This record gives sequence, C-alpha cells and structure tokens, in this order.
Amino acid sequence: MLHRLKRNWHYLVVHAIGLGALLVLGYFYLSGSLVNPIRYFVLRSGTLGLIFLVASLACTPARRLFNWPGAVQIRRALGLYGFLFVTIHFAVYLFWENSLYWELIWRDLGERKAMPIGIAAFVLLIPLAATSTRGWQRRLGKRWRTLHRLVYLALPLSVWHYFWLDRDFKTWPWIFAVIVTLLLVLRLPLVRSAYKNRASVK
Amino acid sequence: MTVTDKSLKSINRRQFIRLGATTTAGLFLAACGANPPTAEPTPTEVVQRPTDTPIPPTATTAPTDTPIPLPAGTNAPTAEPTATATNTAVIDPDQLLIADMTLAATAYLEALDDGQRSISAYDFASDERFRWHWTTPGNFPRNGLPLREMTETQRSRAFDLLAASLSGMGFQKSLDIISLQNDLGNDSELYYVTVFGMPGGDTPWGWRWEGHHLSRQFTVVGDRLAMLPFFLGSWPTTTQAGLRAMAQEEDAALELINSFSGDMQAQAIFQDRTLTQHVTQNAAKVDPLEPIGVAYADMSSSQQQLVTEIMQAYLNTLPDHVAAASFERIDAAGLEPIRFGWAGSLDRQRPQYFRVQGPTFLLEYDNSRNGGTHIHSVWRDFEHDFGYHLL
Ligand code: HEM
Repeated sequence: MLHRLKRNWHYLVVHAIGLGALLVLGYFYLSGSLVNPIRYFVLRSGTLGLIFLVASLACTPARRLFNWPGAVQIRRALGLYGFLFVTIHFAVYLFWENSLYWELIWRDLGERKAMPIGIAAFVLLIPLAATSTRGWQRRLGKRWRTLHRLVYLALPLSVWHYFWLDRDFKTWPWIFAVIVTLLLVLRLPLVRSAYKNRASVK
Repeated sequence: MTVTDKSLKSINRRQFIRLGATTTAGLFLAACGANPPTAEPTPTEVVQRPTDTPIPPTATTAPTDTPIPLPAGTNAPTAEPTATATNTAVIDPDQLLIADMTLAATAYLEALDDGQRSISAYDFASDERFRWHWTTPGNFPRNGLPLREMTETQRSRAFDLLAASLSGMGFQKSLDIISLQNDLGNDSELYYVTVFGMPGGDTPWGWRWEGHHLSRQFTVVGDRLAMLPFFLGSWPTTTQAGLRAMAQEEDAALELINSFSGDMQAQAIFQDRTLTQHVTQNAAKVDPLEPIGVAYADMSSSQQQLVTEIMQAYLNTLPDHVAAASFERIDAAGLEPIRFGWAGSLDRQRPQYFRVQGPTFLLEYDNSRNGGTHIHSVWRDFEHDFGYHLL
C-alpha cells in the first residue's frame, strides 16, 4: 500500500489539487456567501483552467530537465482538469452570466475583444480533450501527436485572452506570457537538443 | 394637463418639487449660512474656495476594498456654493457657483507646467468637447491630463475642481465609482481632466472629468452654466466589502417595477429581455426616444415618489441649486408625460434596463452586462446637453 502510494504520489497530488479546487468552487456555489458569484466563478475557473493547462504544457520539459518520467504521466490529468475548468468558465459565461441570450453575447463579443480569442482557445482544446483517451491515441497513431500540437496554439491564445481583458494592470498576464513563451521555446529543436545533451552529460 | 385634474396633480407636483428640489436647496442654504432652510435662495456675496477639511477617500455609506489615492489636502465637498452671507445684495447662485468653479479651474491650470497645460487645455470650439465616453481609456483613448501624470498638488487641485463643480453627494459618488477601479484591476488614476477655453474670461469655457464609468461635462457661458450630459457606471454593483456606488437608483427602480400591478407592469415592460446596451450611446446630441412604459400621471403617489428618488440619484449629484433648478425645469415641462419603461429581469443582479423619459430629459440605465452587476447609465437633456441652449 505504502509502496503504491509512493509510486503514485504525483497522481494523488494532481487529483487532490484538482478535486480540492472543485470542492472549493462547489462550496462557494452552495454556500451563497458570495456577493458576486458570477464574477467569482468566471475569474476563478479561468485562472484555474489556465494554471492547469500551463502545468500540462510544462510536463514534457520537466521530464527532460529534471529527468523525472512521472511528469509525463500526469500530463493528461492536468490537461483534462484544465479543460474542465475552462468548460466551467465558458459555461458560467454562457448560461449564468448571459442566460444564453445571444444578442447579449454577440454584443459582448464585439465589445470585449478578449472574448472571441477565449472562444478560439476553447474550441482548439475540444478535440484534444475528446481524443485524450488511450483508445483514441492508438486509433490516431502518429496523427494524435500532430493533433495535440494544437495546444501550442491554444495556450498562447489563452494568454492573449487574459492579456486583452479590459484591465490596466497586466502583471499576471505578463507572468503567464513569459512562462508559456519559455515552455514553447524549450520545445524548439535547437533548444531541446541543448538541454537534452546537458541532461545526458549529468 | 386639464384644469379639472390640476388640483389633484398639483399635490404630486408639490411632492415632486419638494422631494427633488428643496431637500437639496436646503443644504445649499445651510451652507450659505442661511436660516431657516426655505426654497428661496438667500442672498450671498463673498465667494470662498472650499474649506480645507479633508475628504474621506472612500464611501461614507459603505467600505470600499481599496482606497483611491486621493491626494492629501484635497478640499472637502461642502454643499455648494461655498459662499458666506455678508450683506443682502442678491446674487444669482449660478454666479457664485461659476465663481467657485472658475477659481478652482484657474488654480488647476496654474498648477500645470506648459507641457501639461497644452495636453489638458483645449479650445472651447474644439470638437474634443463632444468626444466623450465611459469605457476604459484602454478601449477609448482620452485626451486631457490623467491624474496619473499629475503631481500631488495638481491632483489635489483637480479634485478641488471636481468638488467645486458637484454636490457633496455627487463628489462622493464620483469617488466611489473611481474606487471601484481597484476591484477591476484598473488604474484609479486614469481619470482625465480637460479644460475647454479660458476659465473666467469673456468667452465660454468648460471642463470635463472623464474615465471609466464616470464622465462629467461642465459648460459655462457668461453667468449661465450647464452640467450635462453625465454618465455614471458601476461594476460591480456591490463589492465584496459592501460598497454600492449606485444603490439608490438600483433599489428605487427595482422597487418601482415590482410595485406595479399586473396590467401596469405589463405596460411598463416594453421588452421581456433586457436591451443589450443603452440606446443613445455617446451621441453628442440626443432626441427623445420612443415613449415607452407607464406614465407618471398613472402612478400612485408612492410610485411617483420612487420615480423622483431615481431622478434624485442623478440630479442630486449636481450642486444643490442646480439640482433644484433641474427639477423645476422638469416640472415646468410637465410631470405627467414622464414615462418609466423597463426591459429584462425584475430581479436584483439579473440583466435589466430601464428608461425614464420626460419632455426635456432622458435617463437611460442599462444593467445588462455581467449578469446584471454592471451598470451603465446616462442622463441626457434634449436642449441643455453641452450647454447647447446657451450658445
Ligand atoms: C482556453 C480557454 C480560456 C482560458 C484559459 C481562459 C482564462 C481566463 C483567465 C485566466 C481569466 C482572468 C481570470 C482572473 O483575472 O482572475 C479569464 C477571464 C475571463 N474569461 Fe476566460 N478563458 C478562456 C476562455 C474563455 C471563453 C471561451 C470565454 C467566453 C467567451 C471567456 C470569458 C471570460 C470572461 C468573461 C472573463 C472575465 C473578464 C473580466 O472580468 O474582466 N474565457 N479567462
């Protein structure tokens, strides 16, 4: 038991954080203690979604940099939690904030340019989430990897969405922009081979 | 209005004037040192700048999350105009107010360096005067000098000018709206001061305070002035800390629409779903919109009082005698045709829109954004906006 726990601790951590965050959101939903529940859920789910998606993007470089195979094993779970939170994010926006009133949504998409960018990011994530199972991975073969490269587009779009929100202070969008850029740069073949060599010399 | 129903309606009219005007006029008179507070302005002569009492930077009604950076030494929003009665010569309160505003505007301009003045000052004839908006400066870049680029003294003078141009309530409401920017991750110093023309000269002049959710225009022509149009907005409508920058109008309107019986409510609701934005946007001039909703004449006296309360939430932001004069103008044009129309949800924190329109004015209130927690509202006058009637 202890042995299994030791071997799978990283799964446990991911699920503890993911389910813990869901529990917190659920608690606040049910408690009715929030003055602005819609705003709370839109903001928290958006942030959580972005954090999980970025964390899933960090898995591959982390495996190489820290020589830790466990990083790749939690990649899917992180990505799916990310997708779950942005789905909540979008759902709160569509159903709760705007009551599926298309005229209102249409006006908002025109008024806040960050919104269409967010939708683009979300749409790109749908096929990734849908084909995240081993079955689909097997069925698609090499094309699965190609398809999942869409995340390289979805994440910059997500950060762009964050960046373009109507806010004067952009410290956090900048921080995410730097992290995502770094994670993408680490994937460039030249950079990758450089740190791969360093890791093997070690 | 016919002669037969005049006496009946005159009760409402009296209530309207009393509620809307004399409460504020009383404050004005008290500030003038006049006693007792009657509707007649007491003669005053000597003009003084507002006193040195510091302004609380946030709402007195409820705490804000983060205080706005109000410069030290900003003067208190005393009931305007801050004049002292020294003899019995009759002076038009407009003139006192103009003198106050002129002093404050001149002090502001004098505090700027040449470069800043060229940014903050425009010709009165410039089209810039009509280029106004309520959105963030990121979405609609503003011309004028932002608080952010001012020194402490300059900022203090800018706030003095605002305090001199509004009632105490109007000034406090402005501070509350400004402080909400902290909740939104916005810069509460991105409010721009623009002066048009030369304050105190023979020619018309005016000035504007503008930034996210707050746009106030002031026009002075000779000894007359106009303080319209203006925009007030609030997002969120209630902060987690409990600040409600626009509570009075929201509460009164919800109470009013829910006070109507079935038929009347059906008449008030011109559309089941909210409008998606206010109709008149940032037009330089507006004409009356289609008359919709329930007429003031058909409301009970308590409902009429709620209409007055809604209007007070806006007009009482103006200096007290200006508010009183505005109510008188509305009354003179006739209260009966004023209409209250509604679109959208009847519940708090759900998307909704309402409109109060009379022969001379239009109030549009749109709370359709962010699930009904984001108010955009504008007070327009078909003739007095931007002082058109004075020019
Ligand atoms: C991959 C997809 C998306 C990600 C990662 C994402 C992420 C974020 C983040 C990080 C925030 C800021 C949260 C904060 O400040 O605490 C945010 C805000 C927001 N997002 Fe998204 N988002 C996505 C898609 C969408 C979509 C599809 C919509 C709907 C059109 C949307 C609507 C919003 C809204 C309304 C806000 C709040 C804006 C404000 O309050 O100023 N997002 N999002």
